[in-house]
Amino acid sequence: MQTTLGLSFKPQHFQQAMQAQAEGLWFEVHPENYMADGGPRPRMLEALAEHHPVALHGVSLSLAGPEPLDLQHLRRLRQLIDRVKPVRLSAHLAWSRLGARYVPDLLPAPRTRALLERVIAHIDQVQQVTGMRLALENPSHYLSLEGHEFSEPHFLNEVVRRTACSLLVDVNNLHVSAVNIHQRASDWLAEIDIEAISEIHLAGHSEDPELGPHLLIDSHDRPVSEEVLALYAALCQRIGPRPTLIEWDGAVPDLSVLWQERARVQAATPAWSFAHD
Amino acid sequence: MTSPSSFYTQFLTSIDGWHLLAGTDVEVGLVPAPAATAVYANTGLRAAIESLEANFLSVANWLGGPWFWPAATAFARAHPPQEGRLFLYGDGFPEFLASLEHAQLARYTSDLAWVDWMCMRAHAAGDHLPLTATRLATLSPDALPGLRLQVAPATHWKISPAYALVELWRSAHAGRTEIEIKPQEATGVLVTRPEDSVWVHEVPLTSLHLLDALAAGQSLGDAAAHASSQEAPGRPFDLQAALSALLENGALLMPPS
Repeated sequence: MQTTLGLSFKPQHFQQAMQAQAEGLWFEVHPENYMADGGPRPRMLEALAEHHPVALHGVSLSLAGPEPLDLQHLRRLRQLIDRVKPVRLSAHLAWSRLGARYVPDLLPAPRTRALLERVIAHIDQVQQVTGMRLALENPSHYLSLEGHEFSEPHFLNEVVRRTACSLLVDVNNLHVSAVNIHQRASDWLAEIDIEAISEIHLAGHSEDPELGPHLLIDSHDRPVSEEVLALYAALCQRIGPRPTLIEWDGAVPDLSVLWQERARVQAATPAWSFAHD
Repeated sequence: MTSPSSFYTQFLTSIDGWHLLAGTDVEVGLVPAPAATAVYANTGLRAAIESLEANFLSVANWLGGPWFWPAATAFARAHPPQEGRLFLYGDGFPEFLASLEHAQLARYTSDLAWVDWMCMRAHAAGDHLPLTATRLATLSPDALPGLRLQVAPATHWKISPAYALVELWRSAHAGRTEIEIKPQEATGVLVTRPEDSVWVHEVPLTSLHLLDALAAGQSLGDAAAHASSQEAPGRPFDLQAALSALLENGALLMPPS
C-alpha cells in the first residue's frame, strides 16, 4: 500500500529541502508564517512548492470561536493558496481569538449544539472562500470542561457529515488527551468515522515540569514517542494508508534528524511504501 | 449554564489570572488556576515572547536574556498579539521600551527597537520595482519638477539621534555588543528592500525630508523645496545627494511607463 510521509518545513531547512529527493516526501507549513504582502516569505514557499507538495496547516482560524471568522485573514489565506497551490488545507477544532485579542494557542470550548452550528458555518465559509476541502484536526486537551453535549468523535463526525470536510487525526493529540483528561484513544478511534480521515499527524510531547507523566504537553519538540508510534501503526493497520506528517515545531533540529525520524516512522509501518502525492 | 460568550471571556480571564498570580500582584477574587490552565497560559505567552525575540533581534542581543525576557513578557501581557501573523508582532514595542528605559534598561534600546521594527515591516511589505537613476535620467528635465514619485511599500525611515545608530544596530543585530558608540551629527536611518533582502542605510537628513514630502503626495519640485527649507541656515541644499541616496537604495517606486 502506498502513501506519503511529510515533514514540518522550517526556513532554515530551505536549501536542504529543495535538494531533497525521497518517495512520498511533502512539507507542511503554518500559513500564518507566510501571509506577507510580498518579500522572501511567500517567495520561499512558492519555490518549495515547485519542488515538493506543500500542505497548509492553519493555526489561527479560530473555528470554534464565538465570533465571525476574520475575513481579512481568510482573504490572505486564499491569496497564499492561489500562489502556492497546496495539496491539502487543515485547521483545528479550537479557538484562539476573542475581540482584538489573539492567543497563540489552540483553546478548547464545550462541544454544545450551538458550537456545532458555529463550527459548521465556519467550515462552510472556509471551504467556500478557499476553494479547498478542509481537514479538521482533533486538538490536545489539558482541561476537562463541563457542558459537553457530544463526545469529540461524535462532534467531528457530525461536522464531517454536514460540511463534507475531512478529518485530520493527530495521534499524538489522542495520546496526550488520553493521559490528561482520560479520553481513551481506543474508544475515540472506535467512534470516529475512519472513512473521513484524509491525513494523520505525528509529533513528540513532553511532560509538565511539576506533574511529570500525569500532564503531557503537545510540545512538538522531540521525536514521536513509542506509545504514539504504536498507536499510529495500529491505526494504519485498521484504516490503510493515509498521508502522514511528522510535526516538529520547537527546538527544531537539523533536517538530518527529521530524516531519521521519517525513517523511524517508515520502519513502524513496513507494509506501506511511500510514493508521490 | 454559562453562556457561550461568557465561557470564552472567563477562559481568557483564567489564563490571564494565572499570569498575575505567578509573578506580580494578586487580584482579589482570582482563584489559582490548575496546572492545565497554566499550559495554555505559558504556551500563548511564550509564543508572543519568542516572536518579539525574533522580530527585535538587535534588542534581544543588546540587552541579553536576563533583561530582554522580562521586558518582552511585560509587553506581551500589556499588548498581547491581535492576529496570527506573529512575524509582524511588536507594534508599540519601541515606545514601550522607551517608557521602561530609564527605569531598568540600557540606553539606546528603544532606538535599536525602532530599526528592528522598520526592518520587520520592510521584510513583509509588498513587492515592487524600484526606481533607478537610469530610469529617471530618461525623463525630460522639464517633467521632473512636476513628477510625483511614490515611496516603495518596503521603505521606512527615521531620524537618528546624535550617535552612530546604524553602526550600533548592525553590530547588535550580528550579536556584537561590546562596541564603542560614537557621537555624531544626527543623520537619517533608511530601511529598504529592493529585492528580497532588507537593508539599513545611513543617509543625509535631506533624503528623509524629501521622503516625507514625497510620501505626502508632493511633486518632486515641491518636495525639493520642502527638503531645502529644512536645511540648517547657511547649509546648501544638495538635491542630487538627497535623491541619489533614495535611488541607490531602491526607496522609490518605478512609475508606470
